[in-house]
Amino acid sequence: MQRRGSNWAYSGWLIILFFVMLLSGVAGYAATGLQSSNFTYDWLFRNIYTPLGSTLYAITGFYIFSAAYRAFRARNIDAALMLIAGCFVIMKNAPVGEAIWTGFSDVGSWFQLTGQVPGMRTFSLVGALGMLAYGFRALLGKERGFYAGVGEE
Amino acid sequence: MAYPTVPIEILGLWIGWLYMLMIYSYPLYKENPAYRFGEHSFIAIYLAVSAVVNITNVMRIAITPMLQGQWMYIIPIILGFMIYTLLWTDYRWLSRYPIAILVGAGFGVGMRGTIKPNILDAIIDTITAPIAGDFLPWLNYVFIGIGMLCSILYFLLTYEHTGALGAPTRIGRLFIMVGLGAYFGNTVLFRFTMLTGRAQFFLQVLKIIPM
Amino acid sequence: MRNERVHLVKAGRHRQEGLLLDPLRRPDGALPQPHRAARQDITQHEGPVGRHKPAHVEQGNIAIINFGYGVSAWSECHPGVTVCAKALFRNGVKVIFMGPHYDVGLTMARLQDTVSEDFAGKEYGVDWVYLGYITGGETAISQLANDMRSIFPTDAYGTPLDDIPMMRDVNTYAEIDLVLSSDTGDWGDYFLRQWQSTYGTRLAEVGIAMLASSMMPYYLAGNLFGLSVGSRGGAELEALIGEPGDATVSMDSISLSHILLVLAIVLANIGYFATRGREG
Repeated sequence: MQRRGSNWAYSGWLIILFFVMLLSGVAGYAATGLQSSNFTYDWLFRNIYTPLGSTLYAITGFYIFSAAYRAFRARNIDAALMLIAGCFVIMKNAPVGEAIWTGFSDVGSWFQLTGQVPGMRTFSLVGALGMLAYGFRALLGKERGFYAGVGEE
Repeated sequence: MAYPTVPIEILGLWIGWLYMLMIYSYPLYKENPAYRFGEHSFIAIYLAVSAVVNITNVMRIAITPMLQGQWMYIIPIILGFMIYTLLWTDYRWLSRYPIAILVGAGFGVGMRGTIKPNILDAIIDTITAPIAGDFLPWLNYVFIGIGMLCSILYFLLTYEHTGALGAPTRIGRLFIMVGLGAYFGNTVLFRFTMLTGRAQFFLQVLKIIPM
Repeated sequence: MRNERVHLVKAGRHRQEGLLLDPLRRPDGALPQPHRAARQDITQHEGPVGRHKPAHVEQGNIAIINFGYGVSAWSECHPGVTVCAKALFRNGVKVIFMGPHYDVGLTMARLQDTVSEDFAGKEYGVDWVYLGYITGGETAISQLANDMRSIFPTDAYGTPLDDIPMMRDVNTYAEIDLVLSSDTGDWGDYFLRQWQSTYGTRLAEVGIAMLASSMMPYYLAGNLFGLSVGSRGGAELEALIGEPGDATVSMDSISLSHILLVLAIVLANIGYFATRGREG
């Protein structure tokens, strides 16, 4: 804000809103032990935080559609298998899939209950082994990346 | 939850609706001042909420019991303040102690709990043959067994995936792709349900559908 | 060519929004509801060795419901949690509610709204208690299993746990009969590692759709006694208890959007193979 960059007004608004929210929440807690007892805090939380948070989460729905349209091509056997499994699971999740063909539910359930299990179980097993190895290294002091200033020495 | 009748609440509902449109203006149009305003508003409120919730939590869990006589809670409070020394380069070394405690406790707790469900139970379930004599359970059993073996070999990075390892790792990659495809299919349900929720909110505020 | 494709994608988005909105305006259930799927409910699956036994609950059992989701995931997780809360209350199970999100208070208020009839017959502190916000990740969940009062000295309203009738004899995993975790990814894993695998506490997951992939190995291995995911799982649960709700309403919209997506993928691949053939 001091440098009056191109978006300084937005930063000013951010700081104002931040302090309004912070002070109202702390005031609510100090008064009654519940931060939501303050009307301003509660109103801002319900009417700005929750719609904005939900919207930012939901924005990826558009990207899923465009990404699937542009990138989901059966270029080789790997991509084709991924595509087939994905499409059957999508049609199994949609109730109308059963109305179109009962096989969508049967094959989609097979992918959910059996088809995906080797891959998913491998991820969790290999991840657990990696976590054990990394954990031992961290506990023995071999991994120090999470300590501040290690790279500066 | 019914449509609000109090004017301030109706105003709040419409402000939330407008903020939603501001955020959606980015993927539907392009980055614009309205989107930036909505984004900055969210960041401000999120930071403030994080601060308020965590301050009140520290008060509830540590400071209040300490003031009631449980003086041991002074130790985690001091350790917590030591983490703030990250902000000063000269005193940054002080933050390593509480971080070391956090990392050590976290790894210890995680490592204890991960062995049984992720390794032992996974292997036991993979190698345990079905009780039923039908064809499909046995086919699934062989499918999962071979799939697991080949997929684990795919993650064996110590050796090059050639020669004897060539075919199994290739097959393992195919099994992994099937798993990722199914994961994508489930992701689609999640994302579209989010979108449906927002579409519902859009229509509810306009009173096209009941709240 | 590139501009045409961009226009097509944008037009596709607008049309998708329009088609998505129509079933919400007139949710007449014209599209099939997941009744058949309810009979093949994923939570009833036997598993390769029939390792699953139905999780019977008795009057007086104590359950934890973990609100591991925020307002943004209400449409995914809340219908399933609503049905589970109704089922637990109707079987006389006492419930402890808690959650790791800042908006857990809003989620608790929403549950009291969607399960209002069952809450009306229950007494706070005797049949249910709301502990509030939990923080600390897996370490906190681990400590919760050993000493609840160190994580929650009071409930969300400031009442010491010793003053709450239901919580007087409850302090560790031993007093908890089952845990229902509804989350967006992490907290179910924490309960799995710190409660189920360490102490054998019965655990079920009622979460987002992606957990159908990541949690399925645990369900098949018997670590979870139940798994219901996404709005589809919520709709199935609503069909099971015969009380259609928010998830069932959204199924028409989900059906249409999924069909659109699959059609888009199929068309894209037809176009890809057609142009590839021409180039080849």
